[in-house]
Amino acid sequence: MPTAHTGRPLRIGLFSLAHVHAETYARILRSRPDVQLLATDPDPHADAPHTRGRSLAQSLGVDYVESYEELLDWRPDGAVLTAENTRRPALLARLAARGVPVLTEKPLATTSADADAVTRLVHRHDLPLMLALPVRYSSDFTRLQQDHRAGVLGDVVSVQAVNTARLPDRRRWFTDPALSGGGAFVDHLVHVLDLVDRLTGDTPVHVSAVGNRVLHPGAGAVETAGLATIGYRSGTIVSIDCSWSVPETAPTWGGLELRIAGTRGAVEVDFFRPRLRGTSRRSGLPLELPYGTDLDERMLDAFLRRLRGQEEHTTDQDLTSAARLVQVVEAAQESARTGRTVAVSATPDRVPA
Amino acid sequence: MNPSPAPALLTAPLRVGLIGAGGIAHHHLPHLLRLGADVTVHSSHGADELVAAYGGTTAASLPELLERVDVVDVVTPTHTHGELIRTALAHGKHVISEKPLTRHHRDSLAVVEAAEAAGRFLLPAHVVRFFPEYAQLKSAVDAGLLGDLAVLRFTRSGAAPTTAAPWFADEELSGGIIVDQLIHDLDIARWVAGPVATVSAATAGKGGVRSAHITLVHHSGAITHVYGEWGAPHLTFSTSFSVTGTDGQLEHSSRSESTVTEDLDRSGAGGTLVPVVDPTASPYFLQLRELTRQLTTGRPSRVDARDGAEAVRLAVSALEAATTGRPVHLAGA
Repeated sequence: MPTAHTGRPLRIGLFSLAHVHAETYARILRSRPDVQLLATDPDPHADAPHTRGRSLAQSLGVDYVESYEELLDWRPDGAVLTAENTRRPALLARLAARGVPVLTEKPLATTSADADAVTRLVHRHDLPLMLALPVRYSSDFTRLQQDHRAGVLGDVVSVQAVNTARLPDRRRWFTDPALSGGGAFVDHLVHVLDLVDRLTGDTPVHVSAVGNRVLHPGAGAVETAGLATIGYRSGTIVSIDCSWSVPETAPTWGGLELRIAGTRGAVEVDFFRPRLRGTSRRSGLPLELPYGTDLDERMLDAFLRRLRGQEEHTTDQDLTSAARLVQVVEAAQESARTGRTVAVSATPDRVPA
Repeated sequence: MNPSPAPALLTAPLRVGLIGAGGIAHHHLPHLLRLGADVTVHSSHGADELVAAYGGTTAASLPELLERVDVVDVVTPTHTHGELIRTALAHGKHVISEKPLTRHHRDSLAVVEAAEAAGRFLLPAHVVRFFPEYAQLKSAVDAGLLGDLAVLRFTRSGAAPTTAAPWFADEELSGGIIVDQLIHDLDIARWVAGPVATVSAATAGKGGVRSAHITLVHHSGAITHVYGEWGAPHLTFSTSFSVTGTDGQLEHSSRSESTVTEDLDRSGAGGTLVPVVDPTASPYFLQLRELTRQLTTGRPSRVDARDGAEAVRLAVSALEAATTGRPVHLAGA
């Protein structure tokens, strides 16, 4: 892997503009003097011809090439992979073959078969890989981890989590199962699962989930609302509302809240809460202006620091947990489909009778 | 400020002399070091302990400190600011000064003029301008989101600092709750809603508790209420504001916007933990980064020496209004 690049800007390739986060990452990376950014978005995107591709790159002020091959030939120091969910595994393979360290949008994959394939590939090429899970970089989460390690929380008994958002309708592929791999479960279970994984290290063993399409019924053949309850090996239960239930007219995208009950006490964290609140007299709508640390900015900074060798890549930890989380999502989808509690595939023996 | 000629810029690493080692020094020294400055500390007491906790070196005397630095950061009790700023300027140093710039308005104007005459930067540390909620308010108002401002409210409450540092209780030295604490909100009110024409105020004090209620009329016609408490030792520090204009309203409360609510017993396992916050997200860090950047690039920071003097004028006017019971009308501004 590349080590020190001190003295010259890092070349970062933005592989696809499919994900809504691609724009966010592009804006942040473009504003950094230590980064050269080049983008491509060659996959078909008939649903959004004007909001993707070269015209989007232009409006973001990012240089553009026509193909993944051209972008790879530019020899980027790192790749930010923001393709559609089901297109990412193939792109990861191309990046691995060229030895380009990757920050990939979550989830790692949409099926455990794909997740296994990606895991083998990453190991074979010894590819530095990082998942785009920005809430990890919150100071509040660091504090939770320290409290947990210090025993202030005691053993975690349960976690009740809300990670709801607006339907990401600027990109219609999110509700096209062929490209998204699913709906709300695929899109929004993973953040909380990852935080729980990092907090407790516990292993998810079974999942019960329900979903529906009451909201946005025309959006596609995927659930737009979802509730999942996950049982862990130690007996901990985690429940997550991952619905796309935040109204389109809401002032911001949504949020992530955890209530953690431990044997020594309870703590609630509302990660994206801080904001000014009010009403706009012009629109009649609520006015909310969030402030505080930009976690995307911090996550990208961590990626750049890794590329410069200033921080260690933790690919193995990331992969193991990411692959396991893919299994949980798959189990949630199956549970919602069948109405049964589903074992997480790596640990079938743990399902209660 | 428009010093003539423009102050010569410094190159990194900055050589900073921190004068004072009290409470606020803990919010300056670690950030200055994080910004890569070489810091020398001088204080009548506490300098050794401060340096042992964070780093830097100490100077046994003020002259020794002045020999080793290009910038002086004044974090001493308020009544000593004026003389230290003048001494530093006379030795050709740039100055960062904790707010209030000085205890009195006339003296504050005098040090601003001294800095301009000396061709040196004088940067008052009004840290609340660097708290993200206030910075967000300022940009929303400047962007016209709220239209023409009509009425603003700001509150700031906490435990009185007078137990830990008795000089705060002496109004001659500190200016009390208005000049020491509410100067923040007076500065923000002027920053957001523009120059002030009239100041009225009333204060109450019973037992160890002090409160102050200040009313401002801005030149624009907007009116502002500023309220503050120095309360009992167990009071949680909290702030809030509400700003309403012709096109809308924005409010904030530090209590209700806090991300964490906990029911934890920290007295047992693990003992007392120092809360971990990202130091680079600290408003004190952001403030010192911007102020020191002005010293090396000349790029104006969001607060200048004249702002510092104006904030003192608003605060001492409120103090006067509270004493006389009559509004103070400000000329110019």
